[in-house]
Amino acid sequence: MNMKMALAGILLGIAALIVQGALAMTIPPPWCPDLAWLVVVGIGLRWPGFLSGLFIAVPLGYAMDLLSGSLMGQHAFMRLISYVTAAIVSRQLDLSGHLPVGIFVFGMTIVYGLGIVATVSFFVGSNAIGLDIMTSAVAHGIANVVAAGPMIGLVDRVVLRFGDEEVGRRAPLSLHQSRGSIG
Amino acid sequence: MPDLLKRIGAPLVVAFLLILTIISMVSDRRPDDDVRAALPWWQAVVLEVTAPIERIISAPIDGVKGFFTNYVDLLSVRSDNRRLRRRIAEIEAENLQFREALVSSGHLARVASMRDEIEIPMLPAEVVGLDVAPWFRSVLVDRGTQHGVEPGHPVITHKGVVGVVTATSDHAAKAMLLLDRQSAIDALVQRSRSRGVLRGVGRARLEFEFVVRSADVVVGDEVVTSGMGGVFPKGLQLGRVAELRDAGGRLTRIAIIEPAVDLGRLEQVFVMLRRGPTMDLLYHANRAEEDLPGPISVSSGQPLAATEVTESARVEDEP
Repeated sequence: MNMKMALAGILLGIAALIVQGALAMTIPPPWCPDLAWLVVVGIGLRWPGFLSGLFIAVPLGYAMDLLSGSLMGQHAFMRLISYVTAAIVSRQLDLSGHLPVGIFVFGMTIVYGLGIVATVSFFVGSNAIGLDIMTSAVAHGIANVVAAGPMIGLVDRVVLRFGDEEVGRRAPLSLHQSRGSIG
Repeated sequence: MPDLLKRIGAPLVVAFLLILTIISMVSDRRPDDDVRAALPWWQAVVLEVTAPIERIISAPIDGVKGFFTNYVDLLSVRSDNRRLRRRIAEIEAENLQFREALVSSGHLARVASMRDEIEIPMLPAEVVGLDVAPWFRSVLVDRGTQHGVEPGHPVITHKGVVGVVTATSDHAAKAMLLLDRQSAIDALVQRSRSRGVLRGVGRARLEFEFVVRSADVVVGDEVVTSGMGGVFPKGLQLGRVAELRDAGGRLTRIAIIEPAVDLGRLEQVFVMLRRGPTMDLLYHANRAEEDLPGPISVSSGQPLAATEVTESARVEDEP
């Protein structure tokens, strides 16, 4: 893992966040894709090293927290979970095609939305999760699936451009030494 | 030992980062007064950098939107013009009659003095960015601490309440909208004075939970701020009752409120620069009186010098 690659990953995430901010001015909330989150998921799926990807995902989450009305650390927390899930799943399953990635992104968007609402409810005491949240999460999931291909493609390009010899092989996940076991 | 470290290294880092983010959330949790403190410098820098970038990126989008909106508006401008001229003539005639009536009954002086009492300095601000996450409702405005904006200042438009400032940097501020799940405002029905709490639920409409189930409310009633929360002055427009909902076995009653302001199309807003004496006591309880910020010049955004304050006080005192 080289420094250039890490820097390129962070810059891609920040650029995605800025573009997302501009899109939010025209596309109503549930239909505006979370491009910066898709970069984090893309890093989870495609990045060669587990720990280096982790240290990109968390700052990107904090950057999102600063621009959003969330509690500081809320997006960082959910992005950390998204990243770890993506990293583990990509090492256990074949997520190379559009369909498996789409299904994964859709499912993770719903988990992400419910997680955000649950943490707001826990820390601030707002209303509990209702049917409307599920409807928003499904709409947002569809938007994210549409944008997932190009965004994960961009992460792929960064890995290809800066990853050098690491491209052909994924580093074994440090969580375990053999497939199918964690720690 | 190195083998063990290698095996547990990644889970340890993940656990550490999870705990770090949870600590961030706990320390950032909004207190009961619903207002946050000023941002630390490193967070303020990000806000400071983002606001102009957001403005630059959204400018061409706004330009295209503006072009189409203006074109559509132009199509009906002639008929609108004719109708409005007629309406202005009617209103001018009405206005004249009202002024005559007020002057004759001596009410005009009283109304003028009341306006002076409740007048709060307001700073115009432009919305330069919307919330990037669909789960929250906040906006980024192009005025910050340099212009006198502080966390806790109400944000309004001429139609009613928009939200409250939650974070500021030198030249930008983040404001939480009424619609956000974390928003709760003490409010009352203008007609019957029934009190309750107006909550954001993350959708386009708000929920008004009445203190008592027998509250007198009908569809179409106007809802205004009660002034009890300490953030908003009394009587600001919040919205209109759109629907009454049975809250099941709950002791309270729920009404669905249509916000007075179209919060999806915010462009220009006003930040009310003073929180009133109640709020100052709450936030500066342990500060000496001389430390409290004085009046702020709306045009420059700078605090007024002591001589200027004395001058203006003298002018106000004169009959």
